[in-house]
Amino acid sequence: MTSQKRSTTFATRLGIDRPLRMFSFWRSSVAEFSETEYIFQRLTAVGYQEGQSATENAQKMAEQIKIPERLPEQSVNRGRFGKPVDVLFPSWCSHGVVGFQRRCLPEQVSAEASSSKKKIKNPPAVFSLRIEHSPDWFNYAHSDIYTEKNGSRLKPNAKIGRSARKLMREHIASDTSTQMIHEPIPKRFAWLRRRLGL
Amino acid sequence: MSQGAAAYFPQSLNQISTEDKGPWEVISNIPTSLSSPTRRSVVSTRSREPIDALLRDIGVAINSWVTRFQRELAGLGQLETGWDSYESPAPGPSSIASASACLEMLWGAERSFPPSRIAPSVDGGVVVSFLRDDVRANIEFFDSGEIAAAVARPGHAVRVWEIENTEDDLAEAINDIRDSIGD
Repeated sequence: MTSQKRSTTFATRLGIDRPLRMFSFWRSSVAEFSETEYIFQRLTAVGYQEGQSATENAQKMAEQIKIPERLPEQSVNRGRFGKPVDVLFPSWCSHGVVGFQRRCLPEQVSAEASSSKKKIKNPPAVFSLRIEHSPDWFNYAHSDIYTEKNGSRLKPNAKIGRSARKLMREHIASDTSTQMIHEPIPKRFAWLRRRLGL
Repeated sequence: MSQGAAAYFPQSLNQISTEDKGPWEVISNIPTSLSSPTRRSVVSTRSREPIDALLRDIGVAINSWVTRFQRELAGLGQLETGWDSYESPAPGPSSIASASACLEMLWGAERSFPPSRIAPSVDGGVVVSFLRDDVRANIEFFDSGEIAAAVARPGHAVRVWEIENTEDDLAEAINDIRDSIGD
C-alpha cells in the first residue's frame, strides 16, 4: 500500500502523483465500517490474461488476497473515502484492483476444522479477520486488516495454519460481492491511464 | 516385392526376410496395375505411418499443456519477494518442484486432467487450479512441503483440506477434485 512504500520522488513531495482526494488534510479516522462497505486491494498481473471469466478472476483473487500473518496487518483502502483505483497510486498503476465487502471478512475460522487427516488439537484455535481505519497523510482511505486468534489480536510473526489461511482467502474470493474492479493493464503509460480513468 | 514398388526402395530392403519387413511388407503387396501417382501416394502414406506417428507424439509432447505449464512454472522461479507489491514471498524451489511433480501426475493419469492455470500464491506457494464453468478447485503447494486443496462451488461452503505429501494422497485429492468439478 502507499503508506508502506512512500515514494520520495519530487512528484510525491509536491503531492501530484496521486489524486487530491487521497490526502487526509487533518481529517481524523472513522472507526465504523458498514457491512456492505467495499474494501480494495491490489492484484498483480502475474498469471493474468485478458478476458477472463468471473470464475477465473475469483481463482486469481483466491491466490492473491492476502491474510495478515507475517505482517501484523494487511494494507487495504476502504471504499467510503476513496475510489478503487486509489490503491494503485503512485507506484503500482499497472496492477488490477479487487474489491470485496466488509461482511466477507471471515468471523470464525478454525485451523483444524478443515483438515482432513490431521489429528484435532485441543482446543482448536479460532481465527477471525478485522479491519480498522488507519489513515495517513497521503492516503486517507488507508485501512488495515488484522487477524485475531481466539479473540485477541495476533502478534507479529505469529503463525496461522496453512489451511486456515487458505480457507479465509477462499472464503473472501468466493463471496458474491468479491469482484475484479480494475483489470491489470500494460505498464506503458499506466500511471497516466489510471489518472485519466482510461 | 513387385518390380514397381521396388523402385521406391533401396535394393537392400529386398533382402530383408518376410518376417522382418514389418510395414514394408504392406508396401510390397501394392498391385502394379495402379497408376503411378496413386501408387506413389499409397506407398508414401504407408511408409510414413510410423514416422508420422512418432512426429505426432513428439509434436504433442512439445505443444502439450504439460510442457506449457512446466514453462510457466519455471517462470515462477524468477519472481522475487514482493512480487505482488505486498511483500509476499516468492514461490520457492520446493513448491515449484512439487507442483511440477503434480503436473506430471496429471499428464500421466489414465485420463489426462489438464489444469486451467498455474500461479504463485501470496503464501509463497504455487497453485494448480482447475475451473469448470463456475466451479473452481485448486491444489496449493507450499515451500514447506505442505499441500492444501480447495473446492469452491456456488451455493456451497468452500471446502479446504490438507493433503499429506505422498503420491497416494495427492492422487486421491486429484480424483476428489475431478469428481467435484464434474470432469
